[in-house]
Amino acid sequence: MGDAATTARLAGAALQAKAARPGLLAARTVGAGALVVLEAVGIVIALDHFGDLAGWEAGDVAFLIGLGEAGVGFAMFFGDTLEPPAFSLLVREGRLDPLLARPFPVLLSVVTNDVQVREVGRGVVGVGVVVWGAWQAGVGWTPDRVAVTALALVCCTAIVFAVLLLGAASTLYTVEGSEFVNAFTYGGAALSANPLDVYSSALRFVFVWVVPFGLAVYVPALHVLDRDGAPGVPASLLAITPVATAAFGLAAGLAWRRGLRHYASTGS
Amino acid sequence: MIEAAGLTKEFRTRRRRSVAVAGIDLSIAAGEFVGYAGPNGAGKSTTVKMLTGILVPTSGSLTVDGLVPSKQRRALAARIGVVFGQRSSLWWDLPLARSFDLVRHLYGVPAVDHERRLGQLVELLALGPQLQQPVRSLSLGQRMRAELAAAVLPAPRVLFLDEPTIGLDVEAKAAVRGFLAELNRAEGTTVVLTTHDVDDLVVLCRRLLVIDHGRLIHDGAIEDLPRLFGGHRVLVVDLLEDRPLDVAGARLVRSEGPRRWLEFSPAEVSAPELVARVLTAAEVRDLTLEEPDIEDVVRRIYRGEVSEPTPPPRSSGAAPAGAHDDHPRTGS
Repeated sequence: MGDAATTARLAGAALQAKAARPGLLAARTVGAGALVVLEAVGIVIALDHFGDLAGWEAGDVAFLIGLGEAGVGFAMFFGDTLEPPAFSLLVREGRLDPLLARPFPVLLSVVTNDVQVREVGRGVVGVGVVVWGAWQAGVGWTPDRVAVTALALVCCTAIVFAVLLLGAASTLYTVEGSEFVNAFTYGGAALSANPLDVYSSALRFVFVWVVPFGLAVYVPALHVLDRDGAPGVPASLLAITPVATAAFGLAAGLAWRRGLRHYASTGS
Repeated sequence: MIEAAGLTKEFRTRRRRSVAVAGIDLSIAAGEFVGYAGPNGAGKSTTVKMLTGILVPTSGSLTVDGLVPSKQRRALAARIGVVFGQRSSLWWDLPLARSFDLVRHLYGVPAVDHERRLGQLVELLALGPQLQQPVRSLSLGQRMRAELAAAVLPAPRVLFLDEPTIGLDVEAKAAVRGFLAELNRAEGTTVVLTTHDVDDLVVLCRRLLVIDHGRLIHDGAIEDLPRLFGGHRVLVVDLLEDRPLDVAGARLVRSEGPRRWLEFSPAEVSAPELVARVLTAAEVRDLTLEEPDIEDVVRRIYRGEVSEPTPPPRSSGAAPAGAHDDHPRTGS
């Protein structure tokens, strides 16, 4: 409770610092949202032209794109400080040390050190693309479908955040941030924009059981869009989605704790 | 307040293993003001980072105020204050007053206590006009006073300072030193000060720890330094007549009328022995022994020119200075 209130205060301070230049902030937020629209429009136009993608039509694919982008956007609002270049700089410049000297959970201190307001633009527009895709696909919004979509948004956000956390944990070992992580955050979100049907069974396995983006995006989409899943990824896996997300998040949390114990600081 | 035994930190990279701190034994009582000196890379910062729970020791035992820093980081952080001279703990883009308010919430200081203490600190450190300014617009001196205020706001039992006067002008340094001395005196705050500023050490610290190559090479009164690490001493001889003076074991470094400055190493010849040799060689009007000053010795320590004395320095308060003029030295 106390920690939550303090976290909110710290995040408020980071927001206030960002708000010092409101014009720039607004432009960046709109820009981040516009990028999502452009990306979605590009794919939708291509699909309109060529028909469908493994039986998935433009609206269906837009639904997937929107979920992935919304997850990245919301996760990056807090998680941007964990991203490889930013976090590596934090470590190399020794700015992690004062955060470690606070009587406060280190992770909460790190994520509230800076917030990326512009990423909210991406998240909100992502949700818009989800809604548009569902409308195109002729989805009738029942409470059940709304709940599954909300679950997908939460889980996708959590998984992107956990991937960022894993990357930060590895930075605590190597000091140099690895762009390898970006392949999983942005790459993961981008790949989950495609229906898993188009991937080989090996890649499908990775997306479901290793980095569970498939469980957070594709499987919920099957429910909302009333589709059958690709071989090995039935819609019934939805029950596993929250469990797998929690397990993945826990693994990332443990890696982070290990990383902090290994942290070597810098300079003298 | 601080107890360490065999405290060690090794850093391992892919192929290399380096020992930053090689088994330090340390005992600092509540209310002490201790200076921590040594050349760059000697292990000063690594030690302080272990004491504050930022780094996990490779081996050895350590408690600070009864807590194990690496295992009870958060509980310890609530009881200590840390000032990193070159890293800010403040919120760069926000008014200074906001930083103090956030510190209050981070440390859970009750609002009433906070207001009273903040009022005192703002007055003592003359920060009133800066409260509504963004931290990034403060001068270095103002920012350092602000960092001190933030570190001291939660009334820490131990205060760790890493180069708190670096880059400050004379006046700002004096303000910081005056504040620290008063804090230590009035509140009994234990202070551990790491600094390159010799005057900081001389003015503030009753006890000095010197670390070199990861080992403590001195733990005692700062006044003992010249005797232990001075290296060369100088015997000033006033001759009755202006004649050449040549004495075994000493080197003539200066000559002015009948006055001769003889430099000697206590490891090779003791002061009484040298005096005896001088007296047999010439007729003498007067003799004085010059000690290297503390500043000089500390500067040499920072340059890495001082090696370990043997036997290990006695704890402060043992025999009065001068009683043991020549420590046998084996060098290192």
